[in-house]
Amino acid sequence: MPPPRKPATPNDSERVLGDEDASLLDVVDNALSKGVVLSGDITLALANVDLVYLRLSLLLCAADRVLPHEDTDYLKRHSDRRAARLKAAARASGGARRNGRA
Amino acid sequence: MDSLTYVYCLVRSARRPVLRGDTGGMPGGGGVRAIEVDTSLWLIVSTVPASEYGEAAIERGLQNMDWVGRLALAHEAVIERFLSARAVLPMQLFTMFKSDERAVENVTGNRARIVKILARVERQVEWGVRLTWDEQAAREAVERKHASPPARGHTSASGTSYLARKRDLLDVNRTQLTAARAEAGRLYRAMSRKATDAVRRTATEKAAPGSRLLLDAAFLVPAGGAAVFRAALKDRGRALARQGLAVSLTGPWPPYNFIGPRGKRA
Repeated sequence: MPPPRKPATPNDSERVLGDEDASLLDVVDNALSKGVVLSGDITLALANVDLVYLRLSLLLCAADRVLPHEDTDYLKRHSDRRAARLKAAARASGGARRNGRA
Repeated sequence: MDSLTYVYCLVRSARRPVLRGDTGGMPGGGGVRAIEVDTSLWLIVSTVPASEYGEAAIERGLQNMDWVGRLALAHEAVIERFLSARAVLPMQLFTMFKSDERAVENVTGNRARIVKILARVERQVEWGVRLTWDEQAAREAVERKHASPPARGHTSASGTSYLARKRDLLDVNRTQLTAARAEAGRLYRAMSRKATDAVRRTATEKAAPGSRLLLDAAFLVPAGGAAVFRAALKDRGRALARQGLAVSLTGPWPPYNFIGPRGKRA
């Protein structure tokens, strides 16, 4: 009997849609340009922010892999923290569902 | 002035937000604290030394991507701890005041604007979806198509099929990329229907014309609706993978893309 034909195994999409961690660039982009703006006592000069963006885009263009090697350590810590939080949140929401949330 | 109040986010919560154990926060700063601004509205802050976070220090620091990255992660990590609150409003990186009082004053002064945004994102989180074109996988898809034996009645067409295969491989760059762009639009529209709100970050998509990034979108999804959203995306992802298109999902994020005026920078 021939093996069953499967163009894409469920595992392929699992891999693509795994608990992928946010890349450093996503974090910088969001925190720097999309947060709520309050006129703080210390303000970021727009020129400086643009400078950061210039570097960001250089990084983006330089390689497919956007994360420099030296970042892996704190990115890993960030990712570990995120995984722990997600697990805790899943447990909490599971409990809430059992208790019949509105 | 030797210390500053660093503001991470505003949190909507009936009770004082819990700050457990490892509070993290900005490097060199004090522990993360919650200040009550108004009924059910909390400012999440920590005290940082002006020597490390003053204007001159920030200006110097912005020259160094590694420094910016490390601080952005510290900022984000604090905000993410409040994702399960009724609502969270992330502040821009490096939002600082001379004192707690000045920070509270500023929020109170912007109350109308803030309350409106809070209502929009209440019990919602953000998910990021990207679609990238994988040229290698697209070529493999063509190879697969031609690897299967021709249908009965066309067995003599081996020369023709050889040419068809050649043509398809040459076309990978042109035809398939056009088709892939159309798929990106369809994916965005389909996922938008599963979300409260959606925004397509076309600026990022267009940043590099030859880029393999076909879709960069953010979706505002009810906090309890993540499983449904993921399942819908997974379904589509499976079909897209066969065409050499890879879907990726990031999140949950604070609702960064749904708190500002549309198209401000994105």
